[in-house]
Amino acid sequence: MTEAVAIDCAYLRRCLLEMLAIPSPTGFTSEISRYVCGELARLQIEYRLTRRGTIVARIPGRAGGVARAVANHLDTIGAVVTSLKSNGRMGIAPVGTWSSRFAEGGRVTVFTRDAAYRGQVLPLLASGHAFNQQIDLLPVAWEQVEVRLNESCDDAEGLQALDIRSGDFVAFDADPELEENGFVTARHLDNKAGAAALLAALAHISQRPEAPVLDILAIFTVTEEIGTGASASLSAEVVELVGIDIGPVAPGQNARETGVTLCAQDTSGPFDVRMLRHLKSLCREHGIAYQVDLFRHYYSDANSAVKAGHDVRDALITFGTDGTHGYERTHLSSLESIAGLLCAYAFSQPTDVLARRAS
Amino acid sequence: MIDAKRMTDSLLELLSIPSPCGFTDEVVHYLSGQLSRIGVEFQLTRRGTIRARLPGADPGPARALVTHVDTVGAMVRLVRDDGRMMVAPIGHWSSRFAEGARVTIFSETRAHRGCLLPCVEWGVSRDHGVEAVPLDWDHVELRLEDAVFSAEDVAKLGIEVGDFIALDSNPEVLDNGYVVARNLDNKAGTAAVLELIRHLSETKEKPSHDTYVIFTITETIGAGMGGAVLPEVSELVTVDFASVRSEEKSPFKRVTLASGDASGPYDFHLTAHLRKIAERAGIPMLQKHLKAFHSDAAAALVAGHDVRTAVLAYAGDASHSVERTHIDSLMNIARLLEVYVTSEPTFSEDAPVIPVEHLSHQFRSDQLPQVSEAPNTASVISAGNGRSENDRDD
Repeated sequence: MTEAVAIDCAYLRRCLLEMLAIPSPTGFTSEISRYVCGELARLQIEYRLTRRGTIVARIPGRAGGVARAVANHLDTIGAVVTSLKSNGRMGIAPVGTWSSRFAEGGRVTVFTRDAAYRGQVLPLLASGHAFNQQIDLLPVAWEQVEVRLNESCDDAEGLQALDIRSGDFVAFDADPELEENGFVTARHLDNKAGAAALLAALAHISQRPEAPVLDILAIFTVTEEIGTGASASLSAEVVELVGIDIGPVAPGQNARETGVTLCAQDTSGPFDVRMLRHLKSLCREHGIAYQVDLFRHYYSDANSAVKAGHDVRDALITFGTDGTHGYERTHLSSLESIAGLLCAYAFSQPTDVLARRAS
Repeated sequence: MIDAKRMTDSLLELLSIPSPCGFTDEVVHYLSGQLSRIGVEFQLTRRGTIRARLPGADPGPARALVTHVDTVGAMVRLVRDDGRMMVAPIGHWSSRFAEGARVTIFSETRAHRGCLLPCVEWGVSRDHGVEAVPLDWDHVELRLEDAVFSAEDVAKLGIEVGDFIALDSNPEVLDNGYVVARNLDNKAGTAAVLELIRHLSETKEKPSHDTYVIFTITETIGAGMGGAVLPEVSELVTVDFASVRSEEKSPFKRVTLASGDASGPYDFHLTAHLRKIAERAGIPMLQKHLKAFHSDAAAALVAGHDVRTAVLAYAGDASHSVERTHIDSLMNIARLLEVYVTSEPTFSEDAPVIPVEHLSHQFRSDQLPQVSEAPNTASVISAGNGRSENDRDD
C-alpha cells in the first residue's frame, strides 16, 4: 500500500467555514468566486475566470497538451422573491430543485440592489396559538410559504419602500455546527464541503516537489444547481473529468458519511466504467475507505459537460451526507478522504491510452 | 446488392455482444473489425464513438448517418443480506419488462449469470402475493446463479455495487421475416447501416457528398453525440427503432419518418427531402410524430451543432421489451439510405453562416387564406422582406 496522503485538515476546515459564511445561491455567486480566487492566489495557483464567473485553475503537469479536470460547484440552492404581498411579506420560488419543507424556518438574507435585509421563511399559517391543527393540514409547497422580514413593513408599499423587487435573491443561512467528533451540520454542505476538500487537495498538490502527471484543471462552476455547470468551461485538452459533489445517505443507499462514496450511475446514466475502476484501485492503494453507490434523483456537472458534447471520461466522487438539500450532515473524515483521493488521482497514470502515451 | 441474409447475420452477431450503455467497448471493437474488413476508413473518439467516412463524389456540405449501438441494461444498486441484489435501470425502461430476463453480470474480473425476478418479501412463497408486488425498480431483484446466500458470499465473488448487467437478447428469426429479440433497439438499425456500407463498398458506388457514419454509444441516456459531429456536416439522419401501432395496415414493411419527437420538430426541409426521395424510389413510408421518443439527433442539437436533423425508423413493436421488427422494414431502411446518400443535398450551399437570400422559405405568402380584420400577412412579408429571384424553394 502506498502511504496515505497528508492533507492539511485545519486548512480544509477553515475554508469550509469561511465559504459557508458567504451567501451564493445560483445566479448570485460573484462573492464566492472572489473568495476562491483569493485562496488560489494565496496558493500561487494560476487561474482564469470565464465571463460568468466559472473559475478554471491550472496546476501544470509533467506533460502538456492533455489535461485532467476536476469540477466542483460553488453555487447553492436558495430562492428568489416572486411577489410582494399585501401583508408585507414576500412569496418566493426555489432556486435549484428542493422542497419547501426544508425552507420552513430557514433564516434568510434578502438582497436588494443596495441593501440586505434579514428575515425568515414561514408557512402561511405560522402561529400555533392562532391556527392550532390547521397548521398540520397545510400542504408542503412553495406557494404555502412566505418570507417575514425583520423590518417594520405591513403591506406591499412597505416592501417597495425597502426597494424589494420580484427577482431579488434570497440566501439561506448555513448555520454550521462542527462537533469535536468530526460531524459537520449545515445547509449548503452541497457543495461548499466539496469546494473545501478541493482547495485542500490543490494546496497539497501544488506544494509537492514533483508536478502531477498531466495538467490538473480545477473548475469551480457556478450554475450546477440548474444543470449547466460545466457546459462551457472545458477545453479540448481535457480527457478526464472528475466531479466532486454531495452523496445522499439514506435507507436503500450505499453511501456513508465516512470515506469516499463513488457514484457509478446517476439520473443521467452510468459514469465511465474505466474511471470508476481506476478510482477504486487508487482508494485501495492509498488506504482510503470507499463505497460505490447509484443516485436516482441526481444530476451533476459531469452530465452538463457530456450533454454539451465534450467527449470526456467522466466520474463522480462524493462525500456521503445525510439529509441532502435539507439539513445536511457529513463527517470531516469524508472530506479528508475526498481530498486524499484527488491527490492520489493527480499523481496516477491516466486511464486513457493516448493520454498515457503523452505523459 | 443489399443482402437480407448478410444483414440478418450481422444483426445476430451484434445481438450476441452485450452492450448496455456505458459498457460498449466490445461492440465497438466488433464494428471496428467489420469496418476494417470492408475497407472503410474510420476514427474513434476517446470514449469509443466510431466515425467512418465514405468519401463523396463532389465537395460540398457533408452528411452524417447516425446509429447507436448501446442498449438499455441495468446496474447493481445494493447487495442485500440474503445475497440477492437490487438493481437500477440503465436508460429509461419499465421494470415490467425486466422480470424474467436472463442476464449476465460483469464484475471487474468475471462474468456471472443471473435472472431478474419480482421482489417478494423474503420468506414469503413466490406463489402467493406476487400479484400484489408493485411494478417498479424497487421491486425487482437479481438472483445470481451461484451458491450465494449472504452479502459476504456476493462480495467473495467480486461483485460490487456499480457492476453492469446485460440482458440476453434471445433472438428468433422467422421464415416470414419477423425478428424477435431484446436489444433490437438499435442493433437492427446498426445492422441495416452496416449492410449499406458493405453494399456501397462492393458496388464502388460513391455518395454524392462526403458521408460520415457515426456509431454512437450513449444514445440510451440522451448524450449520444460525444464530440463526433464535424463542422462540415450539414445534414444528420438518425436511424432508430420506433414502435408502430398494430392497427395500421401492414406496418412492418414500412419506414417511419419522424417529423418530430419529445425534443421538438426535426428539420422541415431535410424531412421533406427524405419524403420526396422515398416516394420517388417507391419505398413505403409513413410520416409520424413520435410522442415519447428521443434520439441522437436531439442530442446533436443540445450539444450545440447547428445541423439539419431527421429520424428514420424501422418498424418495431414493444420497444425496450421483447422487441420485434421485420427484415423488410430494415431492408427498406438500407435502400432508402442508399438513395439518400446518393441524392443531391437538401441545400447545396448549406454553410454555417448564410446570406439572407439563401435562407429557405417554408410557405408562400399567396398560399394563405385571407382573414378579415387581421393584418395581411402576405403584404407584411412582401413589404419587409420581399422574395428575390435568388431565393430558394424546396
